[in-house]
Amino acid sequence: MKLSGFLTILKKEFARFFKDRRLVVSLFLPGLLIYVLYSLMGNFIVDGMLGVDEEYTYKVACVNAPAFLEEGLSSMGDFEVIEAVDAESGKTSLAEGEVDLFAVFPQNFDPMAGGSQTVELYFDTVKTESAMAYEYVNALLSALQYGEPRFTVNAVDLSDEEDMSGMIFSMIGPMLVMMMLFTGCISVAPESIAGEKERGTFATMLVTPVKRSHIALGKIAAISVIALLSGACSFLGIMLSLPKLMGGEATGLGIPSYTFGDYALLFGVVISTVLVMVSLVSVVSAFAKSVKEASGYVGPLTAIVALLGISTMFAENAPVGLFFIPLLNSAIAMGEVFSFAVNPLHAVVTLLVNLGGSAVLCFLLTKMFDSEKIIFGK
Amino acid sequence: MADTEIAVFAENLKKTFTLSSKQRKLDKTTEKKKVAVNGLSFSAKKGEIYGLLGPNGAGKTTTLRMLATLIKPDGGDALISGHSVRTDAEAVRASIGFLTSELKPDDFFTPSYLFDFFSNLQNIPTHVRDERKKQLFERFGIDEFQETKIADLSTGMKQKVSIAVSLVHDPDVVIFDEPTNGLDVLTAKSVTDFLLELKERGKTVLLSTHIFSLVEKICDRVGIIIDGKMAVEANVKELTKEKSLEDVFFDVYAAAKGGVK
Repeated sequence: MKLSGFLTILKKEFARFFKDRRLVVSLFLPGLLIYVLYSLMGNFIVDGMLGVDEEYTYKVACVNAPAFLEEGLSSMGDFEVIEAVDAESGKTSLAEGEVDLFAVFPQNFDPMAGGSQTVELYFDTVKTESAMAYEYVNALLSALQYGEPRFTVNAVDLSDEEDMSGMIFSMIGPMLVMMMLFTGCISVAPESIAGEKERGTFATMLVTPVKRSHIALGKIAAISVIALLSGACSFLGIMLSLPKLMGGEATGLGIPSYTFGDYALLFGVVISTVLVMVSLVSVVSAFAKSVKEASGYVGPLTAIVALLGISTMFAENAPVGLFFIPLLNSAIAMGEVFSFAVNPLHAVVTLLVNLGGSAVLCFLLTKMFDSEKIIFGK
Repeated sequence: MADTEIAVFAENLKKTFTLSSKQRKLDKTTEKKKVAVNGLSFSAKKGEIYGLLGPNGAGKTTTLRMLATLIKPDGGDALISGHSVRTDAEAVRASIGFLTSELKPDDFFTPSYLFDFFSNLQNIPTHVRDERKKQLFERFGIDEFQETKIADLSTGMKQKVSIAVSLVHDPDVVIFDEPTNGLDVLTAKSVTDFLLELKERGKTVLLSTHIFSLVEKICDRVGIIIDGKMAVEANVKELTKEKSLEDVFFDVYAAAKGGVK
């Protein structure tokens, strides 16, 4: 198959886009703005987010609680010291959020005695109250050994930062990625297809020997690359500003350390998703007689994509059947990557279904370009 | 059709459109179908200018669109340079230049860019393309605006760009729907002069119009279409020996419709 027609259309679509400063700015500015705004917002929001209500009563579960503990803590704030039965029950209470801190003291702990005494403190930094309770107890213990260290404090953070970041990313990540990609796509596709129809420039290509399929493929490929660039720009803006927005420095939250494989898989899912989105919006735009009409048709699609994006929050342990639904599969598969729960079967099904779906839509677009009702419909 | 001197041969072309309810209301009709072209046959010889003359709605544009393979005939067929519009659309598109006011050059690009773009779509080698671009741009006076965006050009210059761009592949057959519509007299003259030049170069020009003077001035033969049917097909000079084309047309129209309203 000669590809010259496809390449010519592709180049022209790129030229149409990249030589238009207005279009370029409108696609890439949001990413920059998101970064600046979210970073600024983050600096203000975090202070508020990390505060603990002054009336709050910290609950500390304790094994072998020394007498000075409750007394010492009461001077710092409202504390309730509960005797824990054993180490396991204490950790469970902490994990379930029943207490803010779990402390294990040696039997008959004497802070002045010296020797090899060890105090174990368990807490969860992801929970602000727990982190604060740890700070207080640790401060108290430090004060007790002012001058020379007489015992060891073994602090154990039970939170898994990676899991936490992963969880947050898996909740908002898919929706952000889906919306960013879709936004990029709807900024270009209606203009490229319905716009060309509206301006009467589309049929000029139809009277040349270039195959309809090459026109469809050329347009879809070009729009996909542009949507991908625009989506990547916005996504980068969000990702880079997210640690600031969520108080990364204070809470230890940041971009989780995904592996190369995770990124490769994410990239594959993103590409296949963009192809589905672009093909879908192109087909819808081809029905429209004007960009305005196309934008009207695209509106409900935007709502659907947003819904699919947040559906990952309710799709834990999704059955493989869900991965046969294009775009929903993208959102869930991205969620799996973000939360370190990659399932190779899900990923493969997602890629194949999306590529297959794009191929079907591209075929449909080719047929539409051959339809006089679509091209000349009044 | 073995005549190698025939460039365009249409036989029994038919095209029916389904009317939307909105269109039926506008047309004040209850008919769901409208026959736009009804068994139209004609032929244009190589090196001649053939005019399809008819009132609005006669089926001229539909016929030209079928010949340009933009729409498919419901019945009949047409051969252009020996290629069927039904079965060999790509070859037809490679041998025609199609121009209509509905097809417009993209405002965003420059004449030079569009010329290159369409040349690439027609698989024209670069050196041929550059030579042809130089010739056509000089011929139409586009050369000084070749790097100006189409949006900034005058209507006449845009039309000239459309003509130049539709001829990137030096087609044997040029199909032109209403070539002088909406043009000022100077641009219109430039276009008609160019059509005569094409004829001199052995090209076949098929045009549709409702302007009698244009047919009388440049066409060798004319086909008068009324209600999608060929009412008369004749040599223009012979047809206008005794009467003006306008008078002939109204006679033909009255005979077909039972009077002129």
